[in-house]
Amino acid sequence: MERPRFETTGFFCGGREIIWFFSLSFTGPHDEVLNLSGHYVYPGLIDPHTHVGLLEEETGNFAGDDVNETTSPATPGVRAIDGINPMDAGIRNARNYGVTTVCVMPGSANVIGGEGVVIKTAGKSVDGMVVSSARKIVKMAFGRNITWTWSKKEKYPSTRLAVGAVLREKLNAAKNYMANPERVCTYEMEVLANLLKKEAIARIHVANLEDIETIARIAREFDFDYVLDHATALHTNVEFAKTLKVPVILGPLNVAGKSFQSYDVTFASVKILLEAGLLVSVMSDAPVIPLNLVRLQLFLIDRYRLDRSDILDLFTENPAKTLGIEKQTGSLGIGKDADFIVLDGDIFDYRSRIRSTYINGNAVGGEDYEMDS
Amino acid sequence: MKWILKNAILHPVTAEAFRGSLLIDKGKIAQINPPERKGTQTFDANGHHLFPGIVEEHCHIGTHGEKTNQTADQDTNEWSEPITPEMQALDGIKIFDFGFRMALANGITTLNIFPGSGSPITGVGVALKNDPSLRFEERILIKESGLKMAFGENPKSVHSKTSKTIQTRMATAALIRKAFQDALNYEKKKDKEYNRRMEILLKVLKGELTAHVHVHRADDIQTIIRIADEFGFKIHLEHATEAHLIPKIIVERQIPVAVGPMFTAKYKIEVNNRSLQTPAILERAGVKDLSLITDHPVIPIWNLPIEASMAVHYGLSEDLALRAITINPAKNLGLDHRIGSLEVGKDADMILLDRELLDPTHRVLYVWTNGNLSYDTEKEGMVL
Amino acid sequence: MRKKITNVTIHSIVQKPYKGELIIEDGKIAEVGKTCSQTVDEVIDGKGGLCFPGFIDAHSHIGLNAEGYGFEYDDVNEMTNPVTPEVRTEDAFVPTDAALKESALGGVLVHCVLTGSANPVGGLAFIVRHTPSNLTGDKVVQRDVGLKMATGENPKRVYGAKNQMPVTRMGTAAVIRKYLQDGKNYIEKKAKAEKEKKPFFETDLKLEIAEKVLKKIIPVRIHCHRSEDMLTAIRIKEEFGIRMVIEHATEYLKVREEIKKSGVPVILGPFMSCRPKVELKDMTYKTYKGALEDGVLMACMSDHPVFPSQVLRLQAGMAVAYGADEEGMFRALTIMPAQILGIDQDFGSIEKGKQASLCIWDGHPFDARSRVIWNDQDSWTTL
Repeated sequence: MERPRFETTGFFCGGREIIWFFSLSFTGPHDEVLNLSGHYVYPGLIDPHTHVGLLEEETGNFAGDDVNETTSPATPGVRAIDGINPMDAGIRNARNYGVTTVCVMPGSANVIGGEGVVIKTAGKSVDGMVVSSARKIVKMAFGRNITWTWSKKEKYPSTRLAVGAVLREKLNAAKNYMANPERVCTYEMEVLANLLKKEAIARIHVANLEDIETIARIAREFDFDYVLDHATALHTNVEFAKTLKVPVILGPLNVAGKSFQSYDVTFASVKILLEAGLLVSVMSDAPVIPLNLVRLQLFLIDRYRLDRSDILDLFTENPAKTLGIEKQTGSLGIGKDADFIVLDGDIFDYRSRIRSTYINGNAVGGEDYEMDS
Repeated sequence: MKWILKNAILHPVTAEAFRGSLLIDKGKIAQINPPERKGTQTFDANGHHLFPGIVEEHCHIGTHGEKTNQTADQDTNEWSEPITPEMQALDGIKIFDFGFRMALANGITTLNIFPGSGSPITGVGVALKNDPSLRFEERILIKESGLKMAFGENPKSVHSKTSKTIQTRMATAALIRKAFQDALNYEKKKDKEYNRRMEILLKVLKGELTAHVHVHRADDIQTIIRIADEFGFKIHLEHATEAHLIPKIIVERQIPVAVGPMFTAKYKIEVNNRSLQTPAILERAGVKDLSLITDHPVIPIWNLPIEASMAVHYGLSEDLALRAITINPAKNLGLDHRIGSLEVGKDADMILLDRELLDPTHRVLYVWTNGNLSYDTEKEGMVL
Repeated sequence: MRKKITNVTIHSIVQKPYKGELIIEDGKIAEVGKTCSQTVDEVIDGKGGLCFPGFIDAHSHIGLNAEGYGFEYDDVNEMTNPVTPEVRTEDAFVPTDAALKESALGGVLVHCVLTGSANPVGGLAFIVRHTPSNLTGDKVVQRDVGLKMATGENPKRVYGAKNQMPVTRMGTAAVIRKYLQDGKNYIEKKAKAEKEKKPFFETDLKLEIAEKVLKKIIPVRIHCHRSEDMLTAIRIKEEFGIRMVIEHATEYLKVREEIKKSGVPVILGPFMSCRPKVELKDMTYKTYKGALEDGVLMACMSDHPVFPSQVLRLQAGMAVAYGADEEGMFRALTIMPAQILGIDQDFGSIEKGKQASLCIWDGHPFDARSRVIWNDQDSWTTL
């Protein structure tokens, strides 16, 4: 089943919101007509897990690297927004290649990495790019990324025995903090208190099934909401996956297996978990997969011959729902932000180009922009 | 064994596509559009697309351990010394590495495996037929397929830490010059003891072995051309990220260029000018000897045909895009008499796809190597 | 679904062996005896084999250092802090560790997984059983069953290298005492808040575990090789009035009277190894014989991967060669570890109502040539 597309009609942009899909008979007041005749229009793509702006491209490997604050295994007080360079080539790539919204989070070296942020991909000041309707995000990580980082420093947690213990200790501290009537406000504790009050959601980097189990146990113990990011091995036990009832963000999938942890990486996981009824999105983990190549994962998922509208959802509506911004963006609808991309062909056709990207009703990029720069 | 593959859209690469059939005999393509014969086993391709097996000119499958511990199974870079031409990638390969299966399932039937790029001269590569039915030694197509050299950031960053012999690009160049000068001196020496290191370098100097040089920046490309001119040896450029900035030099000298991996982030300064347009710009400038590479595991090997697709997206002709992953790398390895196209007399390395090879949404249905069915996706599943 | 096993010699542990039958229903033993009368859905012919309860390895690190994965998967010791009661083996356990399957081939179906012995106060142990599932959750028998502690050379070596307490046996004892004393103070503080009806907002996860130990909810599982280390352990036990199990107890024979008097169970082994440490100098298989004769509660451990769990039975066989009672050694692999771990209502013998954790052997388990041909999880097995 093909979803209807707006191939020959246009739509009207008033300010930053889409106010009307019009047919040719639309006669309301307007300043300008954007004739998209012969073009394909899709909602702007959403990448729910990136490090763009934090782990910059084109800067070598130190100057633009602000992704992991590896001075303590739990740094809930740090915020991605404070490290983002809106001029990063990664963000430019995003808008030029159709990604209009990204979630930017700290890396996976710490059990609690810090607060993530959802931003639109055009602007010179990151504050103006923030998608304010998004649910608050606390980035966490489990498994061997943590123990690689901290065992090298001979610091706690050097083994997976203690990874869960770090999280339990911090959440327990937050509970104590919340119970203390004479508490002195600390940012670290406020962030975790938000999580326990379910105002924020935990975004947890995890690969192996045994670590996913540990996360599920701790989430039950402390009662918080979470999303599984990467979840590399989750598809190896579908029945278990169904019991979790949490959104998953798979990827990056277009990568070679560089460790035992990545043993289960496969595009097949998308199909398996979609069929299991989970809310699935796909990430680039940019710059792991740079955002100018975001469509490659779409092409490769198509090899599994899923319904193409389901595949598009992996990059639009599903991440919007996961981030809690589905009322604002992620699909084309009246009252939503006018975030859309215009292609000269079907998005699944490798020859088709993104002619222009619109964010909040403004043309901000496209592949030709990239070629000129 | 003789058999016929019928009812396929044949894409010989070296000629226009057509609907037809092939006769396979003793592992070779024996005849195009053979007459129907009774009693000959026939495979019906159901109108799907048949392409020659894909050729990967530059990867590290087997020396890199796939899905395993990178300390235990890192056998790509012998970074203890800067000049190690006597290393053979062949000796670092893990025969049962999962990467071979990954390549086969995605239609890559010939693999040229090089040592890494951690040293100015890292060692010789090996070209293998990716045919699981053969004993490992039987898979070897060329035991010494080229001498791998490297320029730019990698030898610098490695050897400033390990052997402490390189701090700058100048030292990389100086060490390469010294190595070749040593080889020339060695050749003149009387009553010499056999020195494998020197013998390999001499093969390069005599034109028996080609130097494949890992190089990104335009200035590095020019440096290695300068050195090659001084000593008079043949080079191929690997990666050649900034080749599109100096296409004239490459066309004039007719240097083969292997572009890729095109799908990584700009994580080091020397790749800042990476562009998906590089192949198209080189073609427009007149470069014909273009091939594409994945450098697996830098990007997974299944991306090789997709690199060709994206090059087409950015203006490369479909003809050169297909050649760049089949006949061109075959020619660069000196194997174009055996592989790289569907022509009579060549090895029956073939892949059957449900969509065209350049459409990245294609599925590989069957893979044949030397005329034998070696991967059946329906039975064994996709590997990606 | 009721299954009947026929044509086996039943080694129930609680009775002399006899030719008989048993019926399994919902994973439990529904009936056992010379003949069983209930109707069944499936009959399993035991082919004249020996039916034993699955062996219980009461001290193991299985799953914490998954086989063939090297450094990346080594999660045995959190050697960054001498006091880590809050770490849990359940969090690090790899349920797909190949050793679990191999252990089942050696008749071991239940493992108590402990942290290593680098830290004076190590972490929480849990008990798993062999199942074909790739989930830890499907294998758990019981969580948080004991707090690992360690004495002797290991903590000294690890923290001595860092010039951090403990550098001596005195230091180790002091670290343990301080932890338990902190726990006592913590309990009082909590009680005080409750008495004054004030909110308590100083919950401490490390000391919550000390509270469990001091209230005798869980035992301390203390690693000791040398006689003096065992006496120190018993001394601390008496001081704080806690439950304790002594692990390894290599020099048991030298202080057998004291241990017997203390009532502390011992988990002996692995004695099938070399003696790379000074504290192992007097290691001997005769220890099993002595402990059996003394009538203390005793189990035989593998300490996997120190000694492979798969061949735990051979260590018990060596004990018999060194004079231990054969029947006693079977108890040291089954009912006695079940009692020590507090799971004897479900495991450790073939009795009605217990879990059907069972193996059928084609020969005597202490004979290296014998194989498990069937177990309740994998059905018919082959090597």
